[in-house]
Amino acid sequence: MMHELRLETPRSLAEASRILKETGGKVIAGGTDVIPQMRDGRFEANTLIDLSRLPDLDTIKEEGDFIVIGALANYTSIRQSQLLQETVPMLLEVAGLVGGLQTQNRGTIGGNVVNASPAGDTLPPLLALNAEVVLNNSDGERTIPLSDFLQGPGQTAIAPHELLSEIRFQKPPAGTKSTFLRLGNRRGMVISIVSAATMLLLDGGNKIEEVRIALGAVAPIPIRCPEAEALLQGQVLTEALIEQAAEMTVKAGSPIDDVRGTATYRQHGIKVLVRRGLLKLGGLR
Amino acid sequence: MNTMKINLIVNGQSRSVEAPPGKTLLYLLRDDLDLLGTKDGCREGECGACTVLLDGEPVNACLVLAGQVDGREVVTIEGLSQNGHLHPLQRHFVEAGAVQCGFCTPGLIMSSAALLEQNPQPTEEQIRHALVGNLCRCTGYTKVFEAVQHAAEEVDRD
Ligand SMILES: Cc1cc2nc3c(=O)[nH]c(=O)nc-3n(C[C@@H](O)[C@@H](O)[C@H](O)COP(=O)(O)OP(=O)(O)OC[C@H]3O[C@@H](n4cnc5c(N)ncnc54)[C@H](O)[C@@H]3O)c2cc1C
Ligand code: FES
Ligand code: FES
Repeated sequence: MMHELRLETPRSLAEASRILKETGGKVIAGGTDVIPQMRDGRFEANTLIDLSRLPDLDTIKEEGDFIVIGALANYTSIRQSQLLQETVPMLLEVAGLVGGLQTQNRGTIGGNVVNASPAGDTLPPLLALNAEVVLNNSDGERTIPLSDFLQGPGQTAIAPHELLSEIRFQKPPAGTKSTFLRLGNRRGMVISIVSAATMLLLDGGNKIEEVRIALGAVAPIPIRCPEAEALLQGQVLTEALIEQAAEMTVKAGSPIDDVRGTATYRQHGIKVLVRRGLLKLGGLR
Repeated sequence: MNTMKINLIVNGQSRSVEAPPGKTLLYLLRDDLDLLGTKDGCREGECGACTVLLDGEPVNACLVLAGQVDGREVVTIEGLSQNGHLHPLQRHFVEAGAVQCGFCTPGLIMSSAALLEQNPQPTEEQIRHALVGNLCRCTGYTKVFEAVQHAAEEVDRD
């Protein structure tokens, strides 16, 4: 099947959109998901559209109050971004956990988002950031919240002729801390069994000004924990409160048994990771 | 069968190959360019046996398509020795006993070469980090880290 393929290498977003519309081809960015899927015969396409030579879609920059990450930014450039280090360090933590350096040099954030795996590790942090995705086709662009974009395992709101060009989110207020934690079978090179992104902003008196919690691999799509966030909001952060909130997050998930872990293990994992994340960000441990 | 002309620089030499664009770089190297040092392990990015440098960065050749390397530069294990002399990494891998069955060795050496290029004096932690994507079923890694350390000391003295 691979031998019938054509490869198109557009040099601009407009050209990529046009080819996509004309051929209905399969987009490839870093190829770290697509190439194994192609080998397993998991999609049919006569044309591959290689985005890796589109200029400027790999930049990470500030635009007013927003941080904008180009869809083609790879994990290595995320890991090395000073801007992200200062504002959303959890994204650097994620980038450093994806495969080895070989995978980090190829895999892109846009590919992770469009692939929409329940265990996609960039998704909990991006959900916690209330990120939006910018989708382009040959007629124009639209911006939608990531929470609407993700619809199910491997399913998104992307239309057949759309490309993801950017991921954007409001820059967190100064002093916001964030962390990404996950449970896997080994330290590196694994698919998350449970993951949690937590963000926390405290005022001078340890009162919670802003808190966000998102979980991965415990539901068909990564999810936020609105009840636990509401419980914490405005309260003084204590270990007892964290315990209560962590308990509450367990109910937000609907984990399943699979080869990587049982539902019970995942429920326990949620609590452990949320507790650990909040204790770490709150400086309580 | 659809093929395309792919022009690339391999180990410092311009090469031109007619190949299906969906073929992986791994097989382009092994089948079309007769470079058998790049090993075919898992074919899914897990083992690192197929590690090569693409424009100086370590990548898994099994997860890059031939069509994606047109106009780019690739270095394989065969490109490390100079004028018949082994690269210090190759020599120290042998001397430290970091090679047992040898299947993982080209990949480990390419990842190490990329590390030393960027960071000539890595700490053990940095060496471990650079080699996370390279699996070895035989050596237990200790001798591998030692070999990289020794090569770094030698390269740094030169
Ligand atoms: C060894 C290994 C370890 C890994 N570890 C992890 C891990 O720990 N956590 C994790 O989350 N993931 C992990 N992954 C998967 C991770 O590498 C991918 O999800 C990666 O981020 C996908 O990006 P890509 O550029 O390679 O996408 P590709 O494989 O090129 O594409 C992925 C999908 O997105 C589509 N696509 C890509 N870019 C666009 C775009 N701009 N517009 C429209 N559609 C697009 C493609 O058509 C395809 O459907 C691992 C992969 C490997 C090989
Ligand atoms: S063969 Fe490429 S990583 Fe295993
Ligand atoms: S020496 Fe045998 S796999 Fe590494």
